[in-house]
Amino acid sequence: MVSLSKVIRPLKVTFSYLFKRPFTVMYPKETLQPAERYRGIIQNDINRCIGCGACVLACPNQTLELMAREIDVDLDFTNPKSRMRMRPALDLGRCLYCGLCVEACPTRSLTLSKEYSVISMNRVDMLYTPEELAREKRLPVKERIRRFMGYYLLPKAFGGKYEKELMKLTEEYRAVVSKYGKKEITKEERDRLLSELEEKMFEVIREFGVEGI
Amino acid sequence: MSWFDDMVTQVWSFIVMIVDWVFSLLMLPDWLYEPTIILIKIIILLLLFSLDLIGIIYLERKLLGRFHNRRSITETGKYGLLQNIADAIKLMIKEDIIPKKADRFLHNVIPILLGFIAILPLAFIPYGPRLYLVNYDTSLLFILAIASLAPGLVLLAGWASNNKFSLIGAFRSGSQMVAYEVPLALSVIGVVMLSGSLNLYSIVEAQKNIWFILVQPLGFITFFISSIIELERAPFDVPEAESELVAGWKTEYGSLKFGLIMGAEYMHLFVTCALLTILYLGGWNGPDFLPPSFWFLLKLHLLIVAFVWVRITFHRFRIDQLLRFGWLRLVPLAILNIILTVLVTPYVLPYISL
Amino acid sequence: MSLEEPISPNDVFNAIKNKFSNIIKESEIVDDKHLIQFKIDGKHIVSFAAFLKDEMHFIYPLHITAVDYPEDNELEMVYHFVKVNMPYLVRVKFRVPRDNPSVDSIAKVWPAANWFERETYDMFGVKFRGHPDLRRILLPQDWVGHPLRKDYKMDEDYHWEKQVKEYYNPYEEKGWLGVPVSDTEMIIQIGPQHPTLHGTWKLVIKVDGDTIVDAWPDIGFIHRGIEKLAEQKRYEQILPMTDRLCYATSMEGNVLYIQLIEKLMGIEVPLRAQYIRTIALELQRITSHLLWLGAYMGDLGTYHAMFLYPLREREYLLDLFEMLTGARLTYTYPRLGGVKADIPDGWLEKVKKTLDHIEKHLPEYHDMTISNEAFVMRTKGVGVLPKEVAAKVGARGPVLRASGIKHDTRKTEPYLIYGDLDFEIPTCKDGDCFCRYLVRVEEIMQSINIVRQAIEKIPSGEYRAKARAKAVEGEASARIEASRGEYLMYVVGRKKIQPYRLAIESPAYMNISTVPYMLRGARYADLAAIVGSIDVCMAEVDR
Repeated sequence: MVSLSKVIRPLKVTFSYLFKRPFTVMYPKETLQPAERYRGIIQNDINRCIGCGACVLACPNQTLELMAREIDVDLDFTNPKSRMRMRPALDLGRCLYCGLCVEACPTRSLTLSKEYSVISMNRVDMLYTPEELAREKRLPVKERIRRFMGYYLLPKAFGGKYEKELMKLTEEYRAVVSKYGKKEITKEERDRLLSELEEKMFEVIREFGVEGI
Repeated sequence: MSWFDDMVTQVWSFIVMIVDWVFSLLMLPDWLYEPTIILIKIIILLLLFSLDLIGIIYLERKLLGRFHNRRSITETGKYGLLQNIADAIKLMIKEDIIPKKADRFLHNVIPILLGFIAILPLAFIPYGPRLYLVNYDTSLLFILAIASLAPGLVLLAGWASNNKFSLIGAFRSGSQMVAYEVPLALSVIGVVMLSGSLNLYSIVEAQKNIWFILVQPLGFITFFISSIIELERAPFDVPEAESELVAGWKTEYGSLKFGLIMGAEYMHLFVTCALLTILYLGGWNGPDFLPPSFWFLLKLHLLIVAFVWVRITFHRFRIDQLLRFGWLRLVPLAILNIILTVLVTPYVLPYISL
Repeated sequence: MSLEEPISPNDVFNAIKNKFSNIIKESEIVDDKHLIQFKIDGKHIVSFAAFLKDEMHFIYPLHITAVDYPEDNELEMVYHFVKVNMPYLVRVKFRVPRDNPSVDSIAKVWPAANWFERETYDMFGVKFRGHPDLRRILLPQDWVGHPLRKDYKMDEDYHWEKQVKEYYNPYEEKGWLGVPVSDTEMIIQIGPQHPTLHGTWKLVIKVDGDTIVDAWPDIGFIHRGIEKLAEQKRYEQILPMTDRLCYATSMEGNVLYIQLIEKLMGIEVPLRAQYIRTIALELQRITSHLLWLGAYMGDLGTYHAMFLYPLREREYLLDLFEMLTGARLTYTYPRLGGVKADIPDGWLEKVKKTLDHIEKHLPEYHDMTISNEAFVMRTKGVGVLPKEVAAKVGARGPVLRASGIKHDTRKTEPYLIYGDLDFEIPTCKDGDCFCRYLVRVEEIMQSINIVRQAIEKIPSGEYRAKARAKAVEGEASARIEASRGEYLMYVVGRKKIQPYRLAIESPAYMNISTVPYMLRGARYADLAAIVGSIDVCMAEVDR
């Protein structure tokens, strides 16, 4: 025979929950405050950063890459000596939020903020230039892609056959920039070649499906 | 409470007046009068019932949230009142898929039949001292007979899907339902003996002084448990939430058919709780400060809360444990109830108004 | 000598050395690394294994793998054996030629070796003679090449999109692996996507009416190649990968990996850091068991109330972890020589309050489960794994302890500060699902006990020693008691900043392979209860 207490006791427990306050947090109307040490999106203080590249080496996932700043328009970024004038750029889609880059930074300019809401409708929105990383501004999509041309983060953001094509174009881009840096071609020549390559890259990205460019 | 009676009488006489006026205007023949009145009664009943049905589904979902210590539907409409309507609209606009080699006629017809047998008993239930659709002398027997059509339809539903697993689920469901018809019917015999008739109206009248649950608690428990199983609710929902075998006999029914089947399940819940209040909890008898129909509906909804409570608390039984439980435990309990009623009746009879 | 009788490592060492003096090439016993190592002649591995099992009562092989040395043109086979209540691991190594390597299989001695040998065949191409069922386990059956070899190049054009109907065709008579099916029987594939299985793996069963006749688990759907990736990353960079090994218990993967690397490089950890690591590990164990509890109750009856109550308690614990490490699920908290950051102020008081709260709610859980007739009927006597079978077949952790064998690495080979703490190992005699439930709930109580003791005893001091990863030459193996069982990692370093080989052996891997032994003869309706009671986390099985 079924023992009666084994039936009554669970019923009592469940009944007691009719009178308790629900445990839910009605997100997004109420939000929970993250803790002090919460590892959210990365932020970089661009004035403290010295462009050493320790963060780039420490990252397990090749998320960061040193990139020329907006004020260094004509920098030859393929020359290893110009590294000190470059600052880290990152692809939030690849970031693990592990915090190893923050530990590697010697000047403590990289920090992890407490934002955790990363939403975007296309892959290119996840690429952050150094100025965006310092929370100074947010560029429109076409500008941002143009800034990322010639760096490896752009092809790696796409993958598959698009990655192969974009990687080829990136290598050509870098070759042109390096020739200008060694003063082998003139500025007009460089601009012409680069705009051709940019058009081709935009073609590939449009084929992938990113809109608005 | 008499204000309620007056209000109902006034509304009804207004409607009859309109019907008379239409009849005289259009010169319709006399033999059409009675059926029209009955048709209007049916329409009013169905309208009120649909409102209550949405209310029951809302109540169940909110209660599930409460028991789980979380917030349930809150977004659509204030306090989530429009959620069920949104779900119903979603079900209606989905595509209706019938498997390739399935029996098309059966596939289309079975949900309608299931809804039909769930809704038919509504005609026999008295909702108040003079609120009923029909008043047969054997209404209780008729309701039990209609309920026993369910296993056959379920088996047909599984067969009509052309799916191995639905068929197995239908077999399990059918055998479960058939097994529990017996304790269901047996437990009602005690009530019939005490009140002396199979008429639901007279059973309620007989409980003016003492509710039958106090006289035969065993019968109440047996009827309660058997009806959980008839409804295929947890903890006995082996055919429904069979996570090893897809979803049982309801798998291949989509969109509005699934909506009908689900609606039929809740209608059956309503009918079962109505039967429970009429047979054991005194129907509409209650103190005078509220109209009797309100007492009836209040007891009904409290019973629905009890059904949800039981659903939350117990894990699913295995199919063989379920069948063993029915045949070896509930049937002897029901028979014991009958014996006890026979012994106790002479002492209780004076208190029952007949 | 019985299964659980304690014996000193020196006795074991001498007994093995005496018996097999002719085939042992090198032997050593390393006390500070808790290791007994033998290098033997590979032809006699079966008799070696049979001696370990029958005379010395070793439980099961903890791990079988290989390391590729292309410059010597050889593969080195590495076997680890473990015995209850003996603190040292026994490691056996021998070399086989790299072209067409072939080794005798020890699956006859221990059925637990079955899946290890299949994986070694899959990854290295080693063929095992006498193996009952040698086919690939983690990769698809028509894959070409053996990935963990050093000269492996991946085929870029593998047909990823085409769903390979490998060898299961329900409309054929011999539709699965050539297994004959009679008229009353049916083969059912409980496919990779199924709510009961708690993960992405396939379970093919042969059913006769309502009884399960046989079962074949099939894994490898989320294989990410972590062992191969680890050979290309530096020691510090592998750390975030280890917390994604089992995401529900990521602290355990982290601590095990860091302990392994510290063992390899000989780094000392200060006492305060060890206490912090222990507290974090035990809290992680409570979290993992609560998650299992909620999911199991949801298995047994949908919409059940007990699905959500343990998850509510787990939220408090996740808040604690967020305060300590900065993340709720993937922690990356330990570092070489200690932990990343010290305990924040007021954390210990919050831990004590949370533990009090959980302890108050545990009797409520007991009321809902042990005193719940439906639960008891569903789980008592269901899925029995007898004691003799459990040891041979390789069950780990709570599954092993519920079958009656009292084996826990925290007592056998105390790591961190478990040697100083006072706690018990719960066991149960029957080996059914109810026992596994009881063992896990009791473990939650014991963990609460351990954390309370550690909080009182925690000293002040450094939380991290100054240490950096060096390029060392050597090898090391480390094991901890994770919430699912015994977890082993093995690393070989060769003077580079990246490891030469990192081998990971997870407890859920072996627990899934015991599923056929529990399912044979069981009712089909009990499948959900049995599979749920093992506590599977697929990410650590497939790596």
